[in-house]
Amino acid sequence: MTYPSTHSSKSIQVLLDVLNNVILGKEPQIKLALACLLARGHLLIEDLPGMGKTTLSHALAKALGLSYNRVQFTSDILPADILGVSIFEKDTSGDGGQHGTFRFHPGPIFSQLVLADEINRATPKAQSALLEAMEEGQVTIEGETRPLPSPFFVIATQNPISQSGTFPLPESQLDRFLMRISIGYPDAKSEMELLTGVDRRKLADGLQQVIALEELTALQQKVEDVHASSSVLEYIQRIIHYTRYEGGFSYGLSPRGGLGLLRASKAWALLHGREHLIPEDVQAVLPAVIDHRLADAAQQGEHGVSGQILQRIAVLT
Amino acid sequence: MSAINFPRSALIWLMLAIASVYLPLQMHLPLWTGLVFVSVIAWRWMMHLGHWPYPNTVVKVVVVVFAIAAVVISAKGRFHLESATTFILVSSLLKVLEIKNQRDGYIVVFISMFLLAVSFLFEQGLFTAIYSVLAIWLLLAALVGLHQSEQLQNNFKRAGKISVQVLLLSLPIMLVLFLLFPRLGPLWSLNLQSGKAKTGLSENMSPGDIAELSNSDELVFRVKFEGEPPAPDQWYWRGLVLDFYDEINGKANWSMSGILNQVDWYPNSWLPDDGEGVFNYRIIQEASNKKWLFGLRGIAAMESGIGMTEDDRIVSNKKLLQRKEYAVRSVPKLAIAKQGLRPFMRQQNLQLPRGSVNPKTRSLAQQILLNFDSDVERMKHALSYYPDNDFSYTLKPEVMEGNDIDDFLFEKRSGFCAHYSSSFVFLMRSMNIPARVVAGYQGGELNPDSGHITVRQYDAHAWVEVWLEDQGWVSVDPTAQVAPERISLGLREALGGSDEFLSNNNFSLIKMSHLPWLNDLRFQLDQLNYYWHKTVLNFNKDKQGSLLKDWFGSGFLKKSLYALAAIFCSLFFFIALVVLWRKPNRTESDLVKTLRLFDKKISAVVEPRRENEGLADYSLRLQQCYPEYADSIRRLFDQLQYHYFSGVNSGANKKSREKNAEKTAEKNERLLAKNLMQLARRLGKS
Repeated sequence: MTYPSTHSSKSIQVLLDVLNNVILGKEPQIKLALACLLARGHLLIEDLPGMGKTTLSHALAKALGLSYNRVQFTSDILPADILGVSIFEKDTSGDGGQHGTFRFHPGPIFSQLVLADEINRATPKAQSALLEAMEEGQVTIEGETRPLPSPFFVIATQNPISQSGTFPLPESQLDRFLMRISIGYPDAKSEMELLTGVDRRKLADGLQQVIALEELTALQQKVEDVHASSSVLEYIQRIIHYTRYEGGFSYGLSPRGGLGLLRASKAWALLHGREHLIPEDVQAVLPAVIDHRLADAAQQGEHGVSGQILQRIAVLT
Repeated sequence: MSAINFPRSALIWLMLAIASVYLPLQMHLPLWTGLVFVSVIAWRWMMHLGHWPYPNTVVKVVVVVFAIAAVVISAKGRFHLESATTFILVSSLLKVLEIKNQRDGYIVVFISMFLLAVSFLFEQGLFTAIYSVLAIWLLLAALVGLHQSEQLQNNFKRAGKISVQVLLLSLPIMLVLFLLFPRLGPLWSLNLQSGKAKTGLSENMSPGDIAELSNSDELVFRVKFEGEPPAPDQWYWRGLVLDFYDEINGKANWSMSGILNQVDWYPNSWLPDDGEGVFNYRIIQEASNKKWLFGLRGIAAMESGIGMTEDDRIVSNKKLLQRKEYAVRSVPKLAIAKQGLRPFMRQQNLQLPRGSVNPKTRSLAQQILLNFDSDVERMKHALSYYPDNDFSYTLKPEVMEGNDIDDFLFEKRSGFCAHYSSSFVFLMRSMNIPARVVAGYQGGELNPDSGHITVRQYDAHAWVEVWLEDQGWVSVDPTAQVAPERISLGLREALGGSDEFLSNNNFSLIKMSHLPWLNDLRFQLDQLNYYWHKTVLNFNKDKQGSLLKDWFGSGFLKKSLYALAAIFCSLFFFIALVVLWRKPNRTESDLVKTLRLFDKKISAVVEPRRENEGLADYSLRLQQCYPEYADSIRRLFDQLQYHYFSGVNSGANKKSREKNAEKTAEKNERLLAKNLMQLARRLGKS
């Protein structure tokens, strides 16, 4: 019997190595973030300040050669601050008179990787401006539709503590993020390395582009082509069914959530150099994909919703 | 769980099933239960559609209080079969309003099954049985519907189909149980009295009573003669002998004096077995709640449990709470009490109150008495009084006034059998001739197909027996003098299709017997019902015993029961074992089966694969447990994964859809399974 060897695609491996070098001891999170990117989803990072959210996004942008912008969300931020604004500019070249035109100044959203920091600080109006852009891949300002660059990847961060004065994202908005992860404290070894090593921000700044844009697009395309056998699809279906009818949640996974789970799993498989899906891929991305979509996640104990699902649902039948 | 979540198809099946159980019961229960039924079904359906809410506690309490009050009121404070049934029916109907989840559905289905069994207390005919099968089908379909998973929830037909399959599967078991299951006596004896007064013969006769019977086509009994039946004009089914005359409110009232109530429970059959004029026949009598049995003149009881009285009747030792089949022998020609009447009997049969009631009748009797020499002559003359004076037969006579017999004989001159027999016995007794009224049924309908005679309530009749010197008791029917067609053709012809016949029963098939095809159909149905009664409903302990004896020889019954018990026990044990052993509702793929075998082989060292554990994780775990075999484990599991998940075998491209590819896939699968087993053996050894 012959079958292709299962080593990862070389560029992905290099990319992972580079990123792991910047963010220490956080390989699973990095992989998830990368999978999210490959699956053309958006990422929500929920963690305390100073855990390396910005560093991670910055390193990702650098290593992938993406244009990068950061928006700090505050309670007084306006949609125009995110999307951009048209400003009247006097025509100075001509007769120096009163002539001029409105010129559009693109906001920070017009870049390939956007870091929306502390998204829950902003008012719903500003939040929805971002979320609509995420969903549509384009923005409409003053009647004119402007496409966003491709690939377009949003990393939003949330601070889980000190919620006073924040506008938590409603479930419908949370559904638009393919994954939600948290980074967490580094372990002792990584901490030591961190303390002795150079500044990570600088390290990230100095990163070289590892993957060409075309290659990234090709990888994103390749995710779609990962083969999902019927038994894995049935496994996903059983999970979805469980969240809807058996698990005792207020409401189950939406079809978008289900499709997202499939897409994320495929990206995970691709990250591991496989062109077919195995149940372990689904299990690996499951917490990141579904925990924020199911309302009662907080009440499900330490394993979370996904832990319960992972334990209860048979992989093969 | 909201109303919407209760599976729609299950709800529809459930509603149909409830309706099917409810409908036959409604015929026996007060009309307001119909109102409850309709409103409950409508409400539940509106709830399902989401238009109306579930009843809250206040509404429920009010409804329940009203329902209980209604049951108590319509039962008139008495406890009987109808009131008990009404109560359970209404409560199960109200439960429908509470159906929210599967469990509520179960409750309603199971109560409905009980109610279906209850409806057999009211009727047991062939069509009731067929109808019940239909109802069971619906109930099973509702149960199946309750068990359908969400994907199949809206597959309405599937439940019905599965229900049919279940019914068919249970058919052989039903037959075996019917034939072999021991016929135990009832474990408890509940005399569930029906609250409705049943029409039927009563112990006393006051002219006027019997007209009411004619309006019922209810079955009384069926008769089957061995050999030729006697001529139809001899079909006088004697039931009661009324020899006590009394006047209640100035009206004649005939009842049983009770002087001949001595019953001979051990009669030797004193009639000849065979010969001219001997009739052997079997009667299947419907439950009457009375002890009287029926038969022709000159009767002899042929079974234990049936006794004879001196006035030529047979009685059962128990009230007929159920249908009873019995054998009878009769010699209608036999002279009874030819030798003479004992003084007290003579006195009883001449008894008339002193005084001057019905003076005209008494003077008529005196006239006849003086004009003729012998009792025979006097009787004949008295009989001819009716046709000579233009009497007529009607079921709706006017109310007799004053001296009722005088009024009938000299003024109204129209009435039915009770009037004729009553007045005739009065006349006879006034002439000092012993006479008594006999009540029972006359005639019946001969089914040309099966040869049995069906006697219904409208065949009720009263006639007279007169004691004559040297002849003994002689049957005389004064009604026949006036309306001979009543005797020879039956009530229906006698009334000539007038409105009087079955006037309250507009839908009776019998009323439409002038349509020949309908009449044929009726006879066929009747025949079917007769065989049903004879073979199924009357399949009692004796019949079972003799049938099994015929089939398997004597002593089989006991052995068969032990065998049956053993077979059933072991069967159920086996099924329970299988059910408990295997996890239900799981169709396992070959891969999972192979893996389970694999697990079993190495279970001493490695914990078996958890259900939620993927192949890759399992492989890693195995590699850790068997480091020396890590390579082969990894390789084999990689192959497995590749085979099952990579899509090279599942028709991802056109080439592999070909048969060849399929075959290779199967071959690979077998090879992998074999390798897996080999690996397991190797691991097991180490």
